[in-house]
Amino acid sequence: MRTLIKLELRRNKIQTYVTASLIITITMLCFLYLFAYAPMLEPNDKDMAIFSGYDNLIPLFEALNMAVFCVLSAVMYSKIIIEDYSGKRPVLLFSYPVSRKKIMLAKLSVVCVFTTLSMFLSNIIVFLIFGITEKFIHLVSGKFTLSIMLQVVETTLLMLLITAGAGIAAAGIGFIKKSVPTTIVSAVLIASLLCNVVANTTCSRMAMYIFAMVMLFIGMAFTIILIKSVDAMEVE
Amino acid sequence: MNKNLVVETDNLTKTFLGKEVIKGCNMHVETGMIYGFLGANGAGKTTVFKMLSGLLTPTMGKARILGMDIISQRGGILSEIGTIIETPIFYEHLSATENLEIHLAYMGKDNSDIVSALAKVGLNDTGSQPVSTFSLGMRQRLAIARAIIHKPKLLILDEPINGLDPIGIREMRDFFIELVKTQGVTILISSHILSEIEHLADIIGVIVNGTIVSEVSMTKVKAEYPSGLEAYFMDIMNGRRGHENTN
Repeated sequence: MRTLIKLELRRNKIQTYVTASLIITITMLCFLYLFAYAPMLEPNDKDMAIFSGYDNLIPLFEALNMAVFCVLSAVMYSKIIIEDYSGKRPVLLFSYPVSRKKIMLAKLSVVCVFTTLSMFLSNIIVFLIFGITEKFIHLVSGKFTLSIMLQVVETTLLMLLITAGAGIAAAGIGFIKKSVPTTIVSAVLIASLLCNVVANTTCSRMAMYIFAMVMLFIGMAFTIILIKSVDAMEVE
Repeated sequence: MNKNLVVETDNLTKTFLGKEVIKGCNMHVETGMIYGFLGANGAGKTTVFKMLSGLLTPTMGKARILGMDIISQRGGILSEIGTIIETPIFYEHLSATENLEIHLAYMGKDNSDIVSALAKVGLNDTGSQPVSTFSLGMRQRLAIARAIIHKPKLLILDEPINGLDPIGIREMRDFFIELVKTQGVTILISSHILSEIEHLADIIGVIVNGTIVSEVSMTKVKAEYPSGLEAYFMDIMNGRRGHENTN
């Protein structure tokens, strides 16, 4: 399995996605400052209260970052899975004396591990930079303490599960149609839906945990569907 | 089962959307032979090749390659065969060498023969040039190099000389004959260029509407048709010759 993962990394340009993750991180840092500064623009506007305080700011920012990384994972799944199994291209992979299931698992692992790692690092880096600058330029009510950082880590871990599940679900839908646009549009729609759900579960941590578990289950179900589909696939 | 047969199919049938594309196909390819597989467009040559190389699952019937069942022992067969099916697919952004390195890694073989394999097909000076910049002929040569580099016992070649110039065709013909003579490789080859098959093949198989109607030795064809393979092929296509099997 390690060899298969190494081969996937070798024949796909992962550097492109590293650059994309860096750009996302920088952009999302700017968004976090915007979110934090928004209540100061209109102090009397009650709608702006959703950005006030770390309890609101963290889940809202993380939900947005989840949506962005969900789309990034869909782009990766499109390149690494959908394109490789579309048209006549499967002839190449199916000519190897390696289990088709294992090749599919290797591909899913590459994308899943990459997006999980890059999203985790992105969130942590963004909040660390924000936390440091908060010491000098105070934008959010309340202090940026270690417990706030732990809250960031906890929310990030939950969002990672949601992103992984949503990304695989989009890949599964795209795989049925063997279509790159279907994969990416599915990811955008799923991410939009998830953003709304997450935004409404910010008040209950238990609801967030249950939701993350549901998404993990959905991701696992789509993984099984993908593996079974590729094993029975024919190249006409 | 005949131990001398590298490929043996028994009543192989493939149905697409209720339509039988391959019907009761019986093919027999002996060890160390070059089997020329002929047929009109849409007769089912590529479909048979795809079933033999595990890309399609037969609806009915059985087939064995090197004594292994094509469905239950697909992995074992794939490590012993080299294939070119339809237009060859590559990792376009990588060089010829990198493509072969990845192929060998998936095949579980080492990289020692890459330079000589590329030299044999005339691609030794492509360096780091990505495959996306290759001409049709160069792609075909690379596909041949990829098919032979892991030292397969059977080559399944679907129109392997497409896109090659006359010199390239001649070189590849000599190369295939050398492979059979020196390494004992068995070759199953299809081509619309009948003169090429005439030069190469030991056995001719003709498929008409999804059924192999004839399997005869090239010697017999030459004896009966001094004007060449084309006259024999046309007689079968026009129904002037019935089913025959000399195996």
